[in-house]
Amino acid sequence: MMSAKDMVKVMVVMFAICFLAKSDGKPVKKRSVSEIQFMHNLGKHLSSVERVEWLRRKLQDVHNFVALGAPIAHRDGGSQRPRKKEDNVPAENHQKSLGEADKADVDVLIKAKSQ
Amino acid sequence: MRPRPLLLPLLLLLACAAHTVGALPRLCDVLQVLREERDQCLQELSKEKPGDLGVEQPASGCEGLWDNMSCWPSSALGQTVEVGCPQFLRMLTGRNGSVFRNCTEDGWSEAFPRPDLACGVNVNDSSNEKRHEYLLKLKVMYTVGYSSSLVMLLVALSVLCAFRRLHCTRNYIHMHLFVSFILRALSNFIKDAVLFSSDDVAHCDAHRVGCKLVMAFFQYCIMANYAWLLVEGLYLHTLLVISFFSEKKCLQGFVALGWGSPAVFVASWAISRHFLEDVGCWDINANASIWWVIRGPVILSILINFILFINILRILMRKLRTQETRGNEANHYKRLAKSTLLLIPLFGVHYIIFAFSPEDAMEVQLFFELALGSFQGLVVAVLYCFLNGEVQLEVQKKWRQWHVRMGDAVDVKAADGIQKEEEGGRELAPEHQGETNERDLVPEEDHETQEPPGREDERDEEEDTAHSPLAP
Repeated sequence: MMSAKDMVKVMVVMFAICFLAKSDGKPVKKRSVSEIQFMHNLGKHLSSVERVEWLRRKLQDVHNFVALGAPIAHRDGGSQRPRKKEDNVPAENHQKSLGEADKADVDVLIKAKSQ
Repeated sequence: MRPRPLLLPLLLLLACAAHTVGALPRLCDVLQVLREERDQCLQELSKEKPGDLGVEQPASGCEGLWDNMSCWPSSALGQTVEVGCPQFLRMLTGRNGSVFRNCTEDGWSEAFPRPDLACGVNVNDSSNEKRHEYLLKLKVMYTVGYSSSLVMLLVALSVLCAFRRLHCTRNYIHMHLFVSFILRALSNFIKDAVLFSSDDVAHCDAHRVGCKLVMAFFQYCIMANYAWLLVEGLYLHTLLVISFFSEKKCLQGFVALGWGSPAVFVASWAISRHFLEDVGCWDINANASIWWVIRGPVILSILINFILFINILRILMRKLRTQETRGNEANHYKRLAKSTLLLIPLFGVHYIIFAFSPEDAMEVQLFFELALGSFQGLVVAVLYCFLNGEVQLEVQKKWRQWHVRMGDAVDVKAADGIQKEEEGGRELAPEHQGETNERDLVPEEDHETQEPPGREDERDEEEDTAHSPLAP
């Protein structure tokens, strides 16, 4: 049986380790269970990949929108009225296309993930 | 339409708060901010238009424009308009900057400098791909490990369940450990199937309850596995240190510790997670204090098991030293080394190596622990079931019985008697085979304190009554 002295020794060592391992209110970066650490890392990584992929498409989208859509609309417009009508078109179109583009993004991401 | 402008700063505030913690915002948050910005811009642009009818504007100006990213107010010809980087980019980069457009006769010019350069967005990051590859390799590795472990454990568990003679406290505990390993492997597969399959990332809607339940189940299985590793350690330690104790009460206590205590911790984790950090599918944990509910008990169990392991080795060493004069010294050390190697997978001693390691060693730790952890079930099933002498004996007996019965159907019945006699002679032989069992943990010539767990079984092998290692 373990003697009281041994017990005290064990307690002291345990407390020392607990204090050394304490993270002083910093956000945890280590999770000490490797499966959960892996899940955490993979989750963060996938969301960052998603973000970058989406951003790339978004920037491309903006570029295309201005290069093709907007200037043509303005060039055609001679009087005030038709210009306004045509001007409204890209905006309304866009209202739909944002959702659709997002969906397309998501589809691409899902395909990329399953590989 | 008052609440809209209020909502945007609130979202941004939330986004900033998320940023200070060090976590980048999720894509759905970014999309939501973008949606808000677009709605606000379109509103402002539509407000401008009725004014147009009343106050005649020069026909040559540029009309207000939402270009999928920023809002450009209407401006006069020849002017250069400056617009700050859109909020959603600032969320991602944390940098300020601005983009310009000229209002020319042909309408708006292209934005300059390019928005991604102006706002410090780096789209071409090759480190992501490397990381992806590394994580996928890890996933393949542990999937192989867990599936092979799963198969072996299922076979081992059915063998232990099938043979009544193998039913004793020690094997009951092994069976519980096997079940916890099986659950751990299964929960890993379920988690991977649920978490990394298709999910609507474009919306921040609260994840389904099912996903969170799976996550809680995953945490429970992992904790239960650690708990049963601890029980194995406690049981062997009790056997060696305490002379007399009630096996039945002991087993009840162990079951409560092994299956009950993880449930308590996981339930309190789930409750605190629900009220304090209800983010996503509970898969990414950023709040340290909530995470300690799981982490603390796990570290504690690893630590206690390590101490028990050291203490058991110390007891074995002491016993060896008392016999040094009599026995072959090299042989004893071989036995000690063997029992140490046997105990490492059973106690999960390898977890201590990285339990307190710094964060820099994370990649090494992940590889090492996932590799060993996923194959640990396989190793334990082989060592404590397939290589166990008693199990081999029982299986051989059953096999021969079956063989004899088959032979009966085909063979002449007269040969039966002779065969059975041979049977009886052969049955004695396996007892003297080299056995990998706890009996190896303690040197054979041990008269000091009490019987080692395995030896009693050896003596009582033919009697159904005495299955407990310490039966009088």
